[in-house]
Amino acid sequence: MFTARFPPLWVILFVIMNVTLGLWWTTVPSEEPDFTIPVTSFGVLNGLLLAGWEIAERRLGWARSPSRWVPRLVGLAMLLPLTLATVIAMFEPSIRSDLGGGSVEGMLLLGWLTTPAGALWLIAILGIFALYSGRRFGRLAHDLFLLAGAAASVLVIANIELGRWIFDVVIDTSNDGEVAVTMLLIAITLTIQAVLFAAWLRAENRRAVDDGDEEVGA
Amino acid sequence: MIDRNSLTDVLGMLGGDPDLGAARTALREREGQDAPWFVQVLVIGAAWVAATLSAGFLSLFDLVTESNAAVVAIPTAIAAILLRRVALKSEAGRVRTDLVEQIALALSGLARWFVFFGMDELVRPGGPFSGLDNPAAALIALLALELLFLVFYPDRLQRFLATGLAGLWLTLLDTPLGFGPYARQAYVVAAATAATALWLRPPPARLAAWRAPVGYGLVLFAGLSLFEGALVPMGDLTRLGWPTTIGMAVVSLWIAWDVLRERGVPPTSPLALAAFGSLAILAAVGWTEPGFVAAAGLMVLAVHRRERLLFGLSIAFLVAFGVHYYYSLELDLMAKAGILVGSGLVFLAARWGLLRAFDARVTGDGANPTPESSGGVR
Repeated sequence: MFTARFPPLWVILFVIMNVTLGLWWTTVPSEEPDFTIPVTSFGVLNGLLLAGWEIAERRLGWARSPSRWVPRLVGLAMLLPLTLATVIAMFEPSIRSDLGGGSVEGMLLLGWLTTPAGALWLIAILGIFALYSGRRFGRLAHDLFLLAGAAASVLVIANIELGRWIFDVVIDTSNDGEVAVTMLLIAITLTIQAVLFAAWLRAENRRAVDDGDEEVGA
Repeated sequence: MIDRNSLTDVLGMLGGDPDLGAARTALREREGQDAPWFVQVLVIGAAWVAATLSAGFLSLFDLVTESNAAVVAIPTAIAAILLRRVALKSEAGRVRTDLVEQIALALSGLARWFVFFGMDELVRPGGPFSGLDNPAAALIALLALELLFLVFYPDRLQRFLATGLAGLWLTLLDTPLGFGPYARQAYVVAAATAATALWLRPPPARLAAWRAPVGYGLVLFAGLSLFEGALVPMGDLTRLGWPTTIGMAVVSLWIAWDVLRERGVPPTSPLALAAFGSLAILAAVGWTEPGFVAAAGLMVLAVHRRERLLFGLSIAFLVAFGVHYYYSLELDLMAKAGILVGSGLVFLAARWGLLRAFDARVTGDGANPTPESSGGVR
């Protein structure tokens, strides 16, 4: 029980589990899988670990921890591979082929959401926004760190998708002028998105501090 | 990097200046950024990507070219600073103010890009950096730009970045200018010394706004330099060796000495000697790994100053350097396993022995080093 209340030991265990999964992918599968699947699996593993941690912290008295650094670390370990896998899925030729026969005209906007990586990324993002902002589905915890991580992931995916769509579908990439205007457009969009996300996160921070939750943004 | 000051503290920083406008600006600078550090990281990351895209836009339209980029960088940097100051005087929390701040951040990134790409013009014969290699000129100009932002751009994250980047540009200057094998080691030790001084000897009130960002910038620069030197050597940068270990050991001993002095423990007492001896042994055992003793000193400093983020950094550095040290041992796995078990037993024995020898005695003197009374890191 003493060691179970020592968070670094849990982190070591989680690292070992991730290493195990990585070694399994390098040795066991007989066929070369779609690259997004192994990357996504790390996100799923860490998502399950995060869910397990949060449930244990609420159900098991001895598992309560005074600080939030472990779930934050595990949450990042979930978001990073899911975001990476989703970005890969956006540009994966086989996925393009499935969605539109490989032709630019046939490529669907947001089509990557139908891939396992994209769908799981969306579920993870919606889950974080719903559960950690403390507005819906009951107040799980105010956790601005995970909200900021999810916001960063959304910024990455949204702007890559915007750029991909404009470059692939809307403009003629051999025309420097059109490319330049697109770059400026994405810069402006990104700036506005960042401002809105930062304003929202600051409001969440103030609200949480007003609620007396000191751990939220520390 | 979150150290919210009370209104009294902020007004105190102004040194009794009755100017309410200045007071409001200082308050906005310290408390208006009520977003935690990771939100600021998100914001500045987005600003730099936006700056990169904007640089692409200007370049593709030939509005900014290699021949004028370095010159354009100066008004761009000044515009960034002015916009930031305008935002500080505006009403906090409004989207319009946030947008101005974000544009200022993007412009600061853009100025760095311009300097980076526009050095050809400045190194031409007759130019201000004539005779210097292009990389050296670009690095000197970037260093000057970081100093400009550090002094005049009133934003904690910008100051932090400017400090860290200034260290990076200085390090990279080593190669083109050929400062010799010890220059880089001197930078790293100097950065660690300066960061320690900032936390152990707080600067005057009017400079208090610089303490945390510059301190963290120096720590990150020193830590990443040690990390680069040990784990992922880049190019032909000078490797960090025993002079760095000695420097870091001295800095760590200074931290330990100061902590003990503040707690009323005489430097010649058995407890103090045990602390100094432990650090000296750590430095001697890991003399090829200067990050070891540096991380230990940083941990003591973080606990002493109750800096949670600093404590996290020290843990990360200690783990990274420990893992690297383990893998660099040229021994078979069985011998390494034996060393791990042996090290664990030594630490357990040391803990038992230290608690048994010193805990009751020091508590009896009125100075209590136990975590419960010292508060540790929250």
